[in-house]
Formats: sequence, C-alpha cells, structure tokens
Amino acid sequence: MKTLVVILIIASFLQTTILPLDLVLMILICRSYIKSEKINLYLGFGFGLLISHLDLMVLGPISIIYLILISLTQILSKSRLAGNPLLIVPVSFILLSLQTLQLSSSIFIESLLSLPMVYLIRFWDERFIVRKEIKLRV
Amino acid sequence: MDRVIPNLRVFLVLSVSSLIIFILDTFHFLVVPKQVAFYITNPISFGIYNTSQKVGRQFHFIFAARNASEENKTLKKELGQLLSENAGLRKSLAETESLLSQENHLDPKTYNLQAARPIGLGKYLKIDKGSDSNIKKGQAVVFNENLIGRIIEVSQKSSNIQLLADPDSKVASFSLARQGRAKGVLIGQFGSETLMDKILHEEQISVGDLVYSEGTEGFLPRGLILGRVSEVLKRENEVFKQAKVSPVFDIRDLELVFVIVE
Repeated sequence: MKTLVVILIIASFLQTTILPLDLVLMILICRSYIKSEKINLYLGFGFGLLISHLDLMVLGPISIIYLILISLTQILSKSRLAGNPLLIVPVSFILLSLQTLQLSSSIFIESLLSLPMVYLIRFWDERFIVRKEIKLRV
Repeated sequence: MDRVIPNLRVFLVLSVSSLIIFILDTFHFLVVPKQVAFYITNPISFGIYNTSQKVGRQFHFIFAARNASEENKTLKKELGQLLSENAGLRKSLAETESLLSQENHLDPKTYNLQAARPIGLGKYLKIDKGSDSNIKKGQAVVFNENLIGRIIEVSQKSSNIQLLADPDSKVASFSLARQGRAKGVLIGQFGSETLMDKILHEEQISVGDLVYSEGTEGFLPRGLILGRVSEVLKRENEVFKQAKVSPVFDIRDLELVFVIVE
C-alpha cells in the first residue's frame, strides 16, 4: 500500500507539472478493476483533493468525480466480462471521457496505457503483496 | 444495495465530505491549510518542472545539433556547387573580357584572329587549337598588342608556341623613347628575360623603354609590344650594346591567347 501511495503522489506531481495525462485516475481505475476494495475510495478522495490543490482548483469536485468513477469501475469489475483484462481499455476510455466530457488525444493514450498498467498492478499484487489469509501449515 | 454498489457507505461518506470541503473552500475557510500545503508542494512542483525543462533542453539541443549537422552537409554541398558555378562564370567572363580587349587592340577586319586557351606551359606554351582550327606553323600568337610567340608545332587539336624567352627565338625589334629609337634583335634567354642585341652605340635606349616588333619576319605585324627594357648593358670594347628586356605581363595569367591566322 505504501508503494502505491508513493507512486500516486509522484503521479500527482507529474500530471500537474509536465504530463498532460490523468495518471492518478488511470491508476485508480486499474486498481479498482482488479481489486474492489474500500481503500480505492479513500485513495480517490485523498488524491482528488491533492490534484485539486496542485492544479489550483477548488477542493472537492475532483474528489467526487474520482469517487464516482472508482465506484463505477468497481461495479463493472463484478460483471462476468471483467475476467478479460482487455476490457479495461474501453472501460477506462468511457470513464475518462465521462470525467472530462470531451474527447481528446490524451484520453486515447490513457485508455491504451491502462492495459499494461492492469498487468503491472496484477503482477505487483500477486508477487509482492503478502496475503495475511494464506498461511503455510507446518 | 450494498451488494450492487460495493462500499456504498464509504462512498457516500466520502462524497459528502468532498461536498463539505467544496463548500468550505468556496467560502474561503480553507485558505490557511491550503497555504501551509503550498509550502510543501510548491518546491516539489518547481523541482519537477525545472528538471523536466532541463532534460527537455538537452533533448532539444541533441535534435537541434542533428538537424544542424544535416543542414550543414546540405549547405556545404550547395556551396560547392555554387563555387563551381561561380568559377565557370568567372572563367567565361574573363574569356569574354579578353576577346573584347583583343578586338579593341587589333582590328578584326585587318587580322583574322583565332582565340585559343592555354592548356600547358613548359618549354613551349601549349594551346587547345590545332590544324582543325586552321592553325599553321609559323603563325604569330598575340594578346592585346603584345607578342607572345610563334607556332612551332601543330597537331590536329593543339599547338605549341615558341615563347620570346625561348633561346631559339629571334625577333627583329626596336625600342622607342623620347630621345630616339634603337634597333636590334630580341633573342631569348634561359628564364623569362630576353636580350635585345645588336644595338648600335649611337642609338638611344634606356631602362623603361618599350620594345616593339619590327615586322620584317613576315609572320607578325609591326609594332607589337615585346617587352620593357629593364637594364642596358654597355661595353666600350664591343661593337654593339645590349639591353635586357622583361615581359610586360605574366604569361600564366592569360585566359585566352590569339593566333593571327591571316
């Protein structure tokens, strides 16, 4: 979790200074798609505030948008089709378009980037996150 | 409902919190915490932005250097072509100027002149015109009013000119000055100078006098300039006096020479 938070902080600064991509939302959508957890909503709320602050916007609206989009992703992740990782591309495309309410080249890039990101998060989750519920019998 | 929308309670709590924060921020209740936050976030944002600018500049420099290198190559190629074209044009201009100058000095109605380019200089001056251009052995070669020599060997496409400085060259000549004139024979010497010999002691000749052709040989007109007296050699015990004559121009500077065909 700490790693994810650090990555999200770096992504927040990057997207508000040099990169014209919504990296934070992309990471949160991908994570919510893989793991439907309460923490995703907390992260969406917190980083929504941070992004608003860094972008010199009024605090609050971005957090609400992030929360709605993360909730939608979590609802979609429970559907049958969610097993297919390729579905993340159209899902992120629709959700990111909903966020800005307009189509731009960055949305296409973000949608395409979401696929490798899903694999990356899944790989990280499977290999480097210790699961408390799994215990070896001796 | 919680099964359809996962973590609905958390979602609602956080949404309401966001709404409260939004209202508070709209009415400027969060100015102080925001200012505190800016003390932390601004240096980080500036650092990232500054670094990206520096990296961007480096990449821009690399691309600019690559473009400049390609541009430089193209410009060098164009410059080479232009220099070559310029050299050709200068050569054509010099030849045209030579032709015009020659027409001013020797009347083309009187003399039928054949222009030729010098293509080699050794013992003889080689030109690019030969018997195909109606050039024959013994014809005089001039430039403006100056005699260069006479044709000594002719092939189809080129000819050799015996220069005045050739030891085998002998031309009847005279010098002209205010004090009077002196007659003699211009004999070639080894090197670029010639010697005017057989000058009587009573005849007047001094340094700086121009030496002209007598025209008694038949192959060349009278009055062509052969050179300028650079030194007079007087010896009391000899019958004749002599004078060293140096050419008035450097033969290597000529673009064109003219053969008097008729």
